[in-house]
Amino acid sequence: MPTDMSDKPTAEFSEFYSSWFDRVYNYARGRTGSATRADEIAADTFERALRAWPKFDAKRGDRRTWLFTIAFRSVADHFRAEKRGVWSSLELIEPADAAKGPAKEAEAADEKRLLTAALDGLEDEAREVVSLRFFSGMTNRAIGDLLGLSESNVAVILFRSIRKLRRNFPALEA
Amino acid sequence: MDEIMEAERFSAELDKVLSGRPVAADLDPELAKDLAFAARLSALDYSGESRSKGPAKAKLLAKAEEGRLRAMLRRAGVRPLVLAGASLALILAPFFMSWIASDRFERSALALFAPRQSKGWGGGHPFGAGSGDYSGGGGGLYFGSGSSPYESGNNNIAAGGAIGGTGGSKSVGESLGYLRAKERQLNDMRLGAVKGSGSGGGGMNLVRQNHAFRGTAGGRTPGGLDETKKAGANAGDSFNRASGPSGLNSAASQPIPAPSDREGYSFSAENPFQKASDHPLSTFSIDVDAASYSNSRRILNEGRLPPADAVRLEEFINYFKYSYPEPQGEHPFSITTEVAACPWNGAHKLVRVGLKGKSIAKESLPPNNLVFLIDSSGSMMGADRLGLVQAGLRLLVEQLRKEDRISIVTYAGSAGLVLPPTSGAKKADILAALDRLTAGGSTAGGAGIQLAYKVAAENFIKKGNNRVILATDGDFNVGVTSDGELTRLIEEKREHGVFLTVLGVGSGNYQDAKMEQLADKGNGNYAYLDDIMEAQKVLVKEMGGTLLTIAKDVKLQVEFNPARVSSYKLIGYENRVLAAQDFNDDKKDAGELGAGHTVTALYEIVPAGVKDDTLPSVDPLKYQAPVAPAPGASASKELFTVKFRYKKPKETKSRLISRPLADEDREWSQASPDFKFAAAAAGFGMVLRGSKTKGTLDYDKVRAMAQEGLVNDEDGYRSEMVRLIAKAKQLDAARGTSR
Repeated sequence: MPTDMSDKPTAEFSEFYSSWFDRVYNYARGRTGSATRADEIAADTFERALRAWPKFDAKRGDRRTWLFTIAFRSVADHFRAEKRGVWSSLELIEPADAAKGPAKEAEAADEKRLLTAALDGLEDEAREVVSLRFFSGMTNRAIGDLLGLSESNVAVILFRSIRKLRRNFPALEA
Repeated sequence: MDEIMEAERFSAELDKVLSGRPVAADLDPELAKDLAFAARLSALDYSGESRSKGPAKAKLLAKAEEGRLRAMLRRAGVRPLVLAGASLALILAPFFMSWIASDRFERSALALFAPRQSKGWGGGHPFGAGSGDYSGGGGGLYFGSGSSPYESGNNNIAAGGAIGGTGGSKSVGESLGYLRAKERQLNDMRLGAVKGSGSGGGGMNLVRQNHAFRGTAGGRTPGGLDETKKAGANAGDSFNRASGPSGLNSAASQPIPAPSDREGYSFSAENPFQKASDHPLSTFSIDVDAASYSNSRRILNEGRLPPADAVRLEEFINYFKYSYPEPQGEHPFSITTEVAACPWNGAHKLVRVGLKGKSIAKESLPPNNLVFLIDSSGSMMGADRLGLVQAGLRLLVEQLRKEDRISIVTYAGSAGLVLPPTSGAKKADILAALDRLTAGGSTAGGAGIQLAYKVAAENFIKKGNNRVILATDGDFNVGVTSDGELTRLIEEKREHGVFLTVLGVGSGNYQDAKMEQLADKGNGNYAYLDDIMEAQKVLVKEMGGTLLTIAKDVKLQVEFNPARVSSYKLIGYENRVLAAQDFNDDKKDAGELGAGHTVTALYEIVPAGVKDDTLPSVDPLKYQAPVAPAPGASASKELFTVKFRYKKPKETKSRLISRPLADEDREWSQASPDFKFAAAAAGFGMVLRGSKTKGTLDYDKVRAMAQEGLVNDEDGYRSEMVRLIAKAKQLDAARGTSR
């Protein structure tokens, strides 16, 4: 039986949501490369989290890992659903930053765009590892547990990805 | 081996970087560069882009609150009662569960329920850590939510944002209000389950079960839908309104009426009376939509009374055409005003403000670039849905000229682009493509809309009418934030000159609120097609207006003269009300006016000097002198000045028109037939809503008013309303409680 929420579940969840939403969003955004998908996944993740809230067991892991496990599954479901539909081939239309024109090359925005483009070039698994590592802040071990990889396996994927990204995008080398 | 060591070294140093600790001093330069790069990657923050953060939170918090309420109920010992009726609960649980499943999960949940009824939704749905082991009864109710009113509460958030009116917290409050109301119903239902058959509680119970029945049947299989439709007649849409067979066995074995509360309607309270001295300005956006009337007509014709929130008074008024003069001069619309004694309260006055958009002959209409975006998901199956859309569009195709371009995009089912852009001269090709459409599959509304806009953009006609025409029952199978996603896309595209028309069809899961909102965001219009006559009216007769915008962001602001007006009330337009300062703010979006369209607004006015019991009295202020009317106001015969702001379709700066209205003492009998009919349409809506301010109005009086307004009725729409009023009266009487 799920235990009841505490007397102030709403406030508790509200705080949880506020402190974690951005990270989940960034993870989903980095993982999928799409603001639209990121919004869907983030909202879906918290909906699932609310559902599972009473079952969280602090003995079995921290809230971060718990939440990102949910987010990870939401991403997987999302991709699966997209693949099943006929829409997988259709590019989601995103408001492309590039459309704003070369006139507005604010440096920060440019770097963000380049980094985002760099992420797009990663293989699926590598992208998952990088997104989890940088946006969720999970440890290599937690990521390994989630993906069914060894800790050093995660480290290698991470290392290779970063080096590849850095070398492919010399403009980003400080 | 080397690489593994290097990788682990990298990870160890990365941990330091990410936690803000200094890295080791003896780093290999390449590794240092990797870390620097990694640091920049970790600093990436996209969260500012998120559109769902606020709305999704509000929705979830409402859910959490509901969970808490349910838990309290359980603790209060409701569950033993349910358990006492254990066999009943076993029968009901899966049905009931499917009802409470949120919109999002409904389909997957239903698919699960049908074959294995007692598993609850946790069984096969990939909820990750959240997989539930709810097993029937009380426990399973824990997180259930997402009924239509609840969903609409959420819609309110977005709509509020659009008109710059309400904030999120208010909407959450409203949502909670619904939840509490639902909680009461839930209680009733449980008690009903114990009582079993009979009247009263049993009736409520029955409806719940009806609902569940429908939900199960609605598993998007063809058979299920047919069942649903058969079940559609005579449904009660609020629980105390239920009639029909009592007793659970009959409920389970017979085709059961489908209650309409899976249909999503935004909550709307009527505008209150406002004191002219305190609130001299009344500001709102025009609304030419009429979907509320045709939707209510559909519900009445199904033998039910429409739920109050499905009745939008301004859409009742604006369903009908009034004979306003053609505009002359520079402005694209004409203004008509009229005042007379208020027919439902003789001491008050009723004022009419009418607009008419310039008519444009079909031949001189600019070329059309139309993309039909047709929902072909399983829920669209049936002659009243996809069949009606096909029939209606066939009529529209007949009207097309060779310079027009038509494309057809479907979502769900077989293909995306069913008909590539085709000239209006090739009617046979277009018709053949229309005929090939079949319903099946699930809905991915977002992707469909994106493709449609892409096609529209690729075929953009510079001086033409570029428009996506979305035909759907609105039951998009996309996530919590799909509204946000669609809104974002639609708002962006309207800036590029592609407009949106929404055609709603179907019943049972009809998502009124969502569709109206979509159309609003897309600078478009929204019509509900209940039969082929309505399709003819919207797509052929009013095609000019439906498809061609002549003025956009049309706002209206009335300044009342407190020397002559004690208080006033705007009838309808509740979700169009703007803040006074929005009137001059050209960034504030407002309604569009199409060619030949008319818009009518009514104000009920309490004249100065008449005993004003519309507002509770407030003690005189201690620190402020009451506001005195401006010099000359008392001497002025003017009741108010009405101002309009609008933009021409391609412009971004608004233009202003203003027009005073002189007070007159006219009996209601002297009012023009059009005025009488407009007031009757509003009055009909007020009676249907059970409005607090309906005064002496009842069905008979409204009917008499409408009969006096039966002019210019070649199409028979007005006499149809007279018949509907009679029908509503019968239904209301049959319900046993008179409004």
